[in-house]
Amino acid sequence: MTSDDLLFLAKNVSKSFGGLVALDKVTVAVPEGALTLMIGPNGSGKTTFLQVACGVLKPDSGALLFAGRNVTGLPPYARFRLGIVTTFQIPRLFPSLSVLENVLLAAQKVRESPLSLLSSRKGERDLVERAFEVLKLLSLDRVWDKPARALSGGQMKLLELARALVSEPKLLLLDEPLAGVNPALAGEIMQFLSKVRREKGVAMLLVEHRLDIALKHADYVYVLHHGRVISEGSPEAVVEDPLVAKAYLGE
Amino acid sequence: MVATSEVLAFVVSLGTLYSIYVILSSSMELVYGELGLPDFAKAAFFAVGAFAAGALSVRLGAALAGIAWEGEFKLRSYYYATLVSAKVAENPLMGLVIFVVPLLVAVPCAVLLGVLASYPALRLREDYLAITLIAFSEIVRVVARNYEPLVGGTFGAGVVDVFAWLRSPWRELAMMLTSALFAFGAWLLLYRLSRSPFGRVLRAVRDDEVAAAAYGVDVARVRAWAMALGSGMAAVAGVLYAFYIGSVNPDDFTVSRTFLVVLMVTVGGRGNPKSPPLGAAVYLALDRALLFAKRFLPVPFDVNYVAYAALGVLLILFVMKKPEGLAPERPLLTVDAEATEGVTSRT
Repeated sequence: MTSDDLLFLAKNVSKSFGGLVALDKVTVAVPEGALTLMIGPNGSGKTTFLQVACGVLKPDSGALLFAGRNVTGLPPYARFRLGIVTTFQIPRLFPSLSVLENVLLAAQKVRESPLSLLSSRKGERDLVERAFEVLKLLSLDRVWDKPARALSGGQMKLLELARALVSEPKLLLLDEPLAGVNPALAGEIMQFLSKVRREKGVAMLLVEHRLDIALKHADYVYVLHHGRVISEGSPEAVVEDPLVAKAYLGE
Repeated sequence: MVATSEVLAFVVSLGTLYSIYVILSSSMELVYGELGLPDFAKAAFFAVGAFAAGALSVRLGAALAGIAWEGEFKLRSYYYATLVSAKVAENPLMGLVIFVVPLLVAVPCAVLLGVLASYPALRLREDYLAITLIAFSEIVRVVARNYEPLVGGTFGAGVVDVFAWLRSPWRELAMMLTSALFAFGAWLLLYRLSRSPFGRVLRAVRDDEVAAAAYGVDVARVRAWAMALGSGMAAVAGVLYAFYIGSVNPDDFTVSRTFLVVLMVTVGGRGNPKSPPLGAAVYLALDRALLFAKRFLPVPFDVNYVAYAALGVLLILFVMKKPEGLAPERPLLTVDAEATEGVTSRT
């Protein structure tokens, strides 16, 4: 791949928690519009990597480049504004806000200033239109006025996605969007993500255990084990790699 | 038999105090109820307003009236307050100036202190932050108590009667209406903010700070804004309070005053913009009822403590049995009904 179509690059990223090395010089590249899959056994550092990528965690060393810009020192809100949007493995919704408000928060442009008090009602209406489009796509439009805490587990997962999609990301970091979701819905979510990628050209970095569903949609796969990239390549090549089988199954 | 004028005076006085508490609890609801930041330094921001009135009204009045000052401030402020009030009686405009200047000084000071106080919030967890803010509040009080040139230390300071140009009961009525006007303004600001996109951001930060940051919210700036607004509002309440009481004493601004406001917001319903007017009404009704009742209470200790004990019990009861308060929070709707109707009807 050439550097022109590279959207996101994490270079030699390391992160330790006390004595535990969660990430050890991890280098991951996500090209424009590609779906990059990251797999690995539990505790291999996948979630840590996503949290470093979105800015919730700071790396100990290494650099993060997004669209040719160094974003290593940027806080999460600034990375979000550039188009790096993350979903959380365990949904972190705003439980007392309604479903619609959860989505609106991700869509709204005026965020900190009380001057938004004076922002036009028209602007809010446009946001509502956009929010409902996304809610409809994910079949959440019927529960739009419910507080997020009243949703089922599956609906919470969907709302995480809705919130991420409405913000019109350039790079979506997805942390196990299929975990805990029934197989039928999981398939649908994957189809849906694939469609979003095709139609809107959103690049995705997907962390997922459900290889049966996710693998066939991936362009490129990274395998993490003990905080290191032990294998990478096309989906076919990676599943054939004996190192990968060893990481999952042991000696 | 109680004379009608006495009943009127009682009602007017209560109305003024109610208005002041509505401003204070509105500011608490904004910062604590909506944003979830335990602003336990509320008494200090309230005090900033009162101290501005205490420090400035007499000095400014004396300067305006051309009265030469003699002696120490702490010993003479009450005397000069009376002299200046007599001048204000002939010159309403002077009263207006003496009222407005402390406001113009207190609000920016409180806003600045509020923004400063919002910074520890970035590093400290909720409980530690609460303790830090209590300490901050006590520092403000202790400094005022010991630095006598400010508001006379433990002597307190006299405050000019800015409505001296009116005769009683119009004077008290004017004070009440002024306070009510500010209270309505403060509450309306809270109400509109809570239903604006800014209100949505406040609740999002309260619900999940990390998620809010990941979705584009600069949490530090949101806190600074909320503390700036909340503290400015509390300072307005403080200025009104000083002019209402007619004097200022640093020891009137202990942490227990903060908790009275916490009580109002908790009883009213944290997170619901209706809580300030509701909670302040419940508190004042109870406080006045206890004031009447305690004459008949045979308790083996100072009967004045009965009110503290009763209010403490009330706070504990609400936190345990009805944490959502009298008016529970509802999912907010920042857009008007037609906006959503248009879209939902198509689904």
